[in-house]
Amino acid sequence: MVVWIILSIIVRPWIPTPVDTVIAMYRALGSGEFYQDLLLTLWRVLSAFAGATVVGSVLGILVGLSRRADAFFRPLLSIGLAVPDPVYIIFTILALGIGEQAGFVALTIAITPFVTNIVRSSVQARDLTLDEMVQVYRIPFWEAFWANLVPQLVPALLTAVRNSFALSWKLVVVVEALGQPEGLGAAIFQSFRLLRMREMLALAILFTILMELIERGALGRLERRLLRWRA
Amino acid sequence: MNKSSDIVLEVKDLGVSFEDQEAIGKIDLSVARGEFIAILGPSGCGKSTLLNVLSGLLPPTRGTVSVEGRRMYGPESEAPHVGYVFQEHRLLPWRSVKKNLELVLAASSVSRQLWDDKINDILEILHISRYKDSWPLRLSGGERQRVSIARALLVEPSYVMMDEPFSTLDELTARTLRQELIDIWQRTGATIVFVTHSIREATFLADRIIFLTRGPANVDDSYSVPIGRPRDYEDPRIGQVEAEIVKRVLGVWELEKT
Ligand SMILES: Nc1ncnc2c1ncn2[C@@H]1O[C@H](COP(=O)(O)OP(=O)(O)OP(=O)(O)O)[C@@H](O)[C@H]1O
Ligand SMILES: [Mg+2]
Repeated sequence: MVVWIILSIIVRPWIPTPVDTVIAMYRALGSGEFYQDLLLTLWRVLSAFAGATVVGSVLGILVGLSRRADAFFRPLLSIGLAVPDPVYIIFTILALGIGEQAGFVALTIAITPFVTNIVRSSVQARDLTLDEMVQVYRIPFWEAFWANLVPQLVPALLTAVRNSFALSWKLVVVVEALGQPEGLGAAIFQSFRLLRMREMLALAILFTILMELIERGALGRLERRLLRWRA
Repeated sequence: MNKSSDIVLEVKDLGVSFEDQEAIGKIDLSVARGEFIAILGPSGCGKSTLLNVLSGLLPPTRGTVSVEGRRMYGPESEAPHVGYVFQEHRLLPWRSVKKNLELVLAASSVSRQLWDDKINDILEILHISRYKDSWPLRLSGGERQRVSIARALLVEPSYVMMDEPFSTLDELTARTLRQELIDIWQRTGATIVFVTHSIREATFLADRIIFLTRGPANVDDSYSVPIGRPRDYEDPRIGQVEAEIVKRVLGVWELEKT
């Protein structure tokens, strides 16, 4: 905060003072446009995040359970993890244009490898003695899948969900700035182009606060509920 | 009381090898219905490997296993219903005690209307009724092992295998559980195959003790414990039998080393 105040005095026109920013935040909260952008962005974050979580979990379980799937996907996965996210975004936009799907696809592709990787390593680190128990008592495959395997993946899935949520709300801003006319990221980028630093900062801060709230509140509660069996 | 003719489990010329290493040499074994047998052998001789074969987890390299007259591991043969009490409890910690029991019941041939009564009965017998809705990790080691025993008995198994189930418990808890295991066995008429390397435990529990040689295991001898029931863990006769067994077994276990 102190650094911010000092900086705002030194680099005068480019870094707005805290007071100005708060005023801008207040103004943004009062405008309908903000909520429209926010809703759109939120929707994009959630859908990409859900897509990546589902696809990544399925892939991760498959790769974790089957040696052949592992041999096939492992190289792809390490490439997937190594490629910087903006590259995906740029390529998808180049490939699909700047439609609504492009943003979704770009985000999903960028996040999926992370989820897959976390889930895969958790599947491979599962308790094999419980697999034996399940086999001795002849529990059918799908029953055992839901009763034994999936609960063992919960901590990893929660980590994956956290990370993919955090990643997707950070990346969505980039996606929108690069390829979408509407949404909060686009609005931030717009303010930047017009050199309206106050508005840009205000939007960015508001968005960050909101995402943190969702992450802590919803995900935190989910975690407590799912892991309540721990001694 | 026509016990000897009612054979539940019959093992013939069983051999198991892992890659190049032989874990079980040759085992022949038959267990009558309602019998309590203990399998005694030194560490690493292949006891757990034997139970894995008997539980349907591990196809043998050689020989046959028949349960109630039907071949196990044959082509298109269905695995029998068995109970297995592992050294560790192996309960699913994210399911309550009751849900753990229901999971195995669902895969057994017990019809759903009977579940509640069966669960209540077995928990009652094992003195753990009050933990019916508890998470397994909230229970003590002994209580978890009781649940594990309940699970093994619930599925109406052809026989129940136990792999050193009390070895991780403190001595006092282990004693109580041994005594209770005998009571339950007598009440339910279950057939039990109990693996241990404690000679005293085997002597106290079993009708018959099977001695395995140092690995790769062969059946060295089978010995009927000449003590009537009820038995007392501190009974001097158990001490005598134990000393006798130690004498004959040590010779074999030690000599084999060279
Ligand atoms: N999956 C496996 N692959 C290779 N070797 C194995 C495997 N399982 C067991 N063995 C070997 O087979 C032998 C018998 O092992 P097993 O676990 O059956 O002994 P045990 O009698 O149960 O010993 P303990 O009393 O210590 O429990 C050991 O030498 C062990 O290393
Ligand atoms: Mg063992």
